[in-house]
Amino acid sequence: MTSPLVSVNDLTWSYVGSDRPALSGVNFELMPGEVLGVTGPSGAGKTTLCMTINSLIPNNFRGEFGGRVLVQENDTALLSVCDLVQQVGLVFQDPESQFMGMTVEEELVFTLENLGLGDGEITHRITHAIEMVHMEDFMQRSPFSLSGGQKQKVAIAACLALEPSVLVLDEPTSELDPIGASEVFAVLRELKTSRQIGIILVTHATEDLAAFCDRVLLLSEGRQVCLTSTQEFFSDVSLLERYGVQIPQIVEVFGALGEEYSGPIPITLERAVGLIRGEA
Amino acid sequence: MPALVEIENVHFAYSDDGPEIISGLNLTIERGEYIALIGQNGSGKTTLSKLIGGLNTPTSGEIRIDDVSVATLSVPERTARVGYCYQNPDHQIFLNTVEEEVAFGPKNMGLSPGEIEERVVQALEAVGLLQYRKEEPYFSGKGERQKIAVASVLAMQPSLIVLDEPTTGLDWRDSQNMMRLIDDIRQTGHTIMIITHNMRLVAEYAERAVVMCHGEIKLDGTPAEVFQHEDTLKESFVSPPQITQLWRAVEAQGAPWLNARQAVPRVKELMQLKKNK
Repeated sequence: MTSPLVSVNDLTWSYVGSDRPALSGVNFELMPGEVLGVTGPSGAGKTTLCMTINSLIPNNFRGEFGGRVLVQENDTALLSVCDLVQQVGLVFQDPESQFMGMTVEEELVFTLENLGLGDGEITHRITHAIEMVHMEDFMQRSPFSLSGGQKQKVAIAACLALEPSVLVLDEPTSELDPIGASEVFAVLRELKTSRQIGIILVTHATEDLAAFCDRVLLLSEGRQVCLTSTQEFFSDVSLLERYGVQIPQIVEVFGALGEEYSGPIPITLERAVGLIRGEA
Repeated sequence: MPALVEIENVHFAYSDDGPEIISGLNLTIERGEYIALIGQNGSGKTTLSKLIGGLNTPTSGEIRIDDVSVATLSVPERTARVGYCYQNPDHQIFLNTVEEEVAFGPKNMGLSPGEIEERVVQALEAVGLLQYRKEEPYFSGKGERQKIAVASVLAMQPSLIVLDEPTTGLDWRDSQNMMRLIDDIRQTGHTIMIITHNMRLVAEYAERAVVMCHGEIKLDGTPAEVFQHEDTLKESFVSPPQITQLWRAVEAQGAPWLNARQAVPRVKELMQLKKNK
């Protein structure tokens, strides 16, 4: 039986000085090749959750930690970010916040050099990583001179060069134009299928969640409201309304059809088109 | 009466040997309009809005506001005409309390203490934050800080308010609140220009959509007109809202759907037709 890449068990976390836990009673597992979408209103604890997966929390923040986060059966509370850097890649909303190199190549090489890898291994890894995101022609460019989508792809490549088994992305497309966002999703799709990487994707963009994720975890004020299949999640319109989750327009339309349609609500454009054309 | 903003053959590059970011652009904005500026990252949207606000100066061409060249206006004269809200409110907020932040602009316009107080109260009331005037600006989430930034601009009572990505980083509920606030501000006589990647918000709220690509305007019209031009949108790296994409796939005639409400009756008919086949 396949083991989970990540197991989160009864996770709680309170920042020092805060009067309520940022996370409380969170439980889920992430399997190889699975994409778990995480959503919820501002202040739900989504970014905090991301930081527990690579042990930034509890090891680099002050606060009270409870429960356990296991990455490939290793307790992250007992490991440093450095110990986990080859297992968990974390991509932030603003990729510039993680850039240090003068060129894309330097950006990719930086962490690998710090891991003490040899030149041959480094070249092999960065070549492969940059090919995965289709940015081979940008190696000598400054990462700061790239477009938003290109920057985000470089940030993903920098993580991929470390060959992690888990990729955590915190709002990776919120500042991107739709085409930049679709480029990032194309890369993630490829990683999910060809590399069996487990992906945790935090986003408010529910049409992306619906099209890309296998399951959805809904957080609100640090609590786990539900963990369910993407289909079930978007079929529960009253839940979406209650927690201020944007309802995909396709779901709005089919939810309003009344007697004209009694089947499962389509959550993607392709499925909706198929149903209307009578192809499904 | 002249238009509020007239942009004539404007070119702009950030340096002498750098690439041209705005290329011979012409645009007229009438008073009271609600315009969405859309296009891919790097298409020149933010640069254009900063040119309008006088934060950048055209390499050539001219921008006039109220028939006066922006280049000839002093900073207080410019800020009284164009208010600019940055994408990240934290790039704008720098004072210790909400009221100091909102009073900063009016103070620099040389207004009297009484006038400043009046404007601070009006602006904070408009964004619903008057009760927090004594708080430090970081008292709450990004949605509230975004509102403080909007209030700071409102307090200068500019004719044109430019909001650069006003909903980025906000959840859906806060995004809706922000868009309703912008709508309310517009009702009080301001001209609005938003820059956004969220085409659903463009379709729901804006009356005019201007599509930019490589520093040029590719499309200009109502959202319904603009979202019909599938090929030009693709070339400009813009994709219409999901509901308009559904219209394109199953209907593709008449006016495009801009929201779910418009789509429901026709989708019902199509589903019925399918059943009866």
